[in-house]
Amino acid sequence: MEVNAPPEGRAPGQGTRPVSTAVKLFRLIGSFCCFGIMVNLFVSMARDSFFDEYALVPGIAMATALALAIFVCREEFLETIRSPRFKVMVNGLVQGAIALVILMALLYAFGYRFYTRFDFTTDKLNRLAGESLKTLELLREAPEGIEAVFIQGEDPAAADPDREKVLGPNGYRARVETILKEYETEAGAVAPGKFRYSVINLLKNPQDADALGKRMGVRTFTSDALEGVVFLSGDKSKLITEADMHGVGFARGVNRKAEFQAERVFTAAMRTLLKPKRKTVAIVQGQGEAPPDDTKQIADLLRRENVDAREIALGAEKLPEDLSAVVIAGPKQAFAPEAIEQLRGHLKRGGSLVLFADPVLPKLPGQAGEPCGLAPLLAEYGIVLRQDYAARGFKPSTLGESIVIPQVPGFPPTGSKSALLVTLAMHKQAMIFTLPCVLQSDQPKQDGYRTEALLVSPPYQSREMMCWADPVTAEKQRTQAEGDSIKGPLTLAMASSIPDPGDQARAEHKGARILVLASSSAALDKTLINYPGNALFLLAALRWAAGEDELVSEIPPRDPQVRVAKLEDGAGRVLSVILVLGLPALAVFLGLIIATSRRN
Amino acid sequence: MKNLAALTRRELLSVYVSPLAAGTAAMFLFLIGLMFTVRFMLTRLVDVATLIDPFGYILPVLLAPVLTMRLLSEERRLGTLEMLLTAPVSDLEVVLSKFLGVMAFYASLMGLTAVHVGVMRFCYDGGIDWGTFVTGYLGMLLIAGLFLSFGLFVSAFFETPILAALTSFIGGLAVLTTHFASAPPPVVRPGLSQQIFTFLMPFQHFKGFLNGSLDTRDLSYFVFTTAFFLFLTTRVLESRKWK
Repeated sequence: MEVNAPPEGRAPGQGTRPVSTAVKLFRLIGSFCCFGIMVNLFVSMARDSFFDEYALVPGIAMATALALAIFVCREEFLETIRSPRFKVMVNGLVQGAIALVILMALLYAFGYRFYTRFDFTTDKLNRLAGESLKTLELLREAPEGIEAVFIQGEDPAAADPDREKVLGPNGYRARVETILKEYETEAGAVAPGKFRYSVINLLKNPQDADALGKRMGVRTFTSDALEGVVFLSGDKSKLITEADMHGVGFARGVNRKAEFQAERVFTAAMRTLLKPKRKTVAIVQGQGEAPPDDTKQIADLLRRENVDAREIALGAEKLPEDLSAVVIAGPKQAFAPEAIEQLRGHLKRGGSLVLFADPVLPKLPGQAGEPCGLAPLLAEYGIVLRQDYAARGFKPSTLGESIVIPQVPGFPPTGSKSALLVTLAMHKQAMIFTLPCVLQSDQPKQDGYRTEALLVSPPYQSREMMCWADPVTAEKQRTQAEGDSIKGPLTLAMASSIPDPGDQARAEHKGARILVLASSSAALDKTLINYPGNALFLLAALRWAAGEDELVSEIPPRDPQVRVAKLEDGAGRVLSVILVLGLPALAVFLGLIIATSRRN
Repeated sequence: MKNLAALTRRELLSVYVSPLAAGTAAMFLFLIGLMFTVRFMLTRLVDVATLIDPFGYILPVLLAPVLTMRLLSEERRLGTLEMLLTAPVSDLEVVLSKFLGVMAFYASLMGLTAVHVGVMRFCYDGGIDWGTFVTGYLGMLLIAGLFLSFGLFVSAFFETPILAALTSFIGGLAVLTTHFASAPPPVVRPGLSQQIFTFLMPFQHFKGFLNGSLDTRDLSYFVFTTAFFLFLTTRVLESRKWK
């Protein structure tokens, strides 16, 4: 075996022993393999998978190469492990490993056992409010704890760059994650391990979203655009949409100021989940309503809101006294007087009613054959249910007749300062209905009630788009409004309730809540229910009716002040030159002075 | 303590009066000036993130190898390390003095960005949230401390400063790449190994400082990992006596 000459200037026997080329080569291969195994281990850790082909194949390849090298170069291997340098290396590695274990122990102790957080911001935006901390204390008594899953859909910045600009440099997602991290940390102090959070990207990981849906007892999420946080506790769950987190800030572009109330709604959601008793909503069957298969989507939405949904046959069954709301989806026959009396009694007790009504069109298959008979009951609460059916069309062009479209969009009324929190959750989204009927408001006969239009159609315009409603007695479909038509804007959704005197009283709300939507298609049609505006409206409407909209009013919104500098272009250019070229040039100049003075 | 102060003073003098210091400062000011100007001109946001956010990730990775490459490898190459280690000072004092000297220089570089903060203050009439600036600068110093201690550790292994710088740079780049490649976690629930891995990545602990919060978990991470590398450096120096 060839032996290297001793290093230059060093006599044989002095300093390190000469090392053969074979040993050097063996060490190189061995080091490379060890390094490869280590990198593979780190990558597997990052991917959280040690046993798939990406981890096993390179790992086994490296280990085999190392074993092969040891086998082929047995003598070199023995020489290497007998060398003093190897002993030093092993000694160092052992000490390093011990130090690493001590480091991990210290990090664990200071990171999780003696954890504190200081907030240096002017507005104190990085600490949970007292109400949230009190809510987290409830986790001590909750054996299942709470898991929060942040569901991310399309990139909010791409969807609405203005919003991201208003929300500041860290964006909406970063702020949601910050709050969830705070909950996790603070919960760690009072109830360790009882609050956890994770992230799912609907576009990248649809299978994870499906798995989550199964856990929640729903088939799937309504839309990829529906971004939000799901809170789970045992078999209970509650979804907070991104819309819920922003309050009134983005309603129809009227007020662009963000009001980031994520902490408020998160805490309210957790309180709901930690409550021992769930609310119940009955979905009525027996008057030609949509069959249970079709209303399953409504039941799914309710279950997602931690509300029990059950079917009930009015008249044949007694309505439970503690029932929160009754949902009637697309009735096609008249209700019996006893059934209407049951509903009247339910509303008197402060229960809620959600009616997805349809116009009476006996000639059309699948449509209502006779009025449902609920109009007098609704009129007591100021809602007039008309049977006229609405349509939308375009003015005749030079090519031929006008085009009539049976689908009508509904928008929250511009400038409405709704206190119902239903349409506010929709932001700029519209609802789409097929063949809706028309609603009007009247003076409520019940004391204290006030009606409010939640959705209106576009107006009837003389040019291009038109929106109007025709009476059901019209002989044939019209292509534009005639004498007995009602011209748009038409009211397509309406609510009646006793106005809340303030947030404090919201939790102890008294009185019924009645919400009527002019078409059942938005809730029952499998395509339309996935339309973002429809999904958001339904969610907010059912939540409102079930009384699950309570907010924790003591928690202020977290809106950091966005500070924007005023700088003219000319001044900006001067500053740029000074900062990019002037300051570095000054540093070089000072360096030259120092160098010259040292030389002198 | 007296030894430590004397050694640190010696280190500071050697750092400040070297042409390398002026070159590093010029490079630092040019890069931070460029990034700040582009960002500030585009967003006009008076925020600590405007100044620090891109550089919180890049600057320590770029500068730490340059600043630390000569600290121990140069001494070893010139043979002055033997003299230093045989002097009546402990290995720990030698390592700490080197670290404190280079940290002080890095802090003074950060101090130069007061000009940029002054520009933001000049262009904005309202009140500035100084708390976020305090935590942002603290975070920058802590993350720099970690990378500098790692650079010092690497420098203890090599006789050639360039090799030390290259190794240190590759290490930093690997951490940076891993950070960008692994975020955000696209799974329902990260496993234990992934949680440990994420926890060990330094940039994960840096985010909170930009929001104006000071978390003892992040603080202890930087303090202990920096101490860990300084300890390892001391052991590397001491290992010369093990042979």
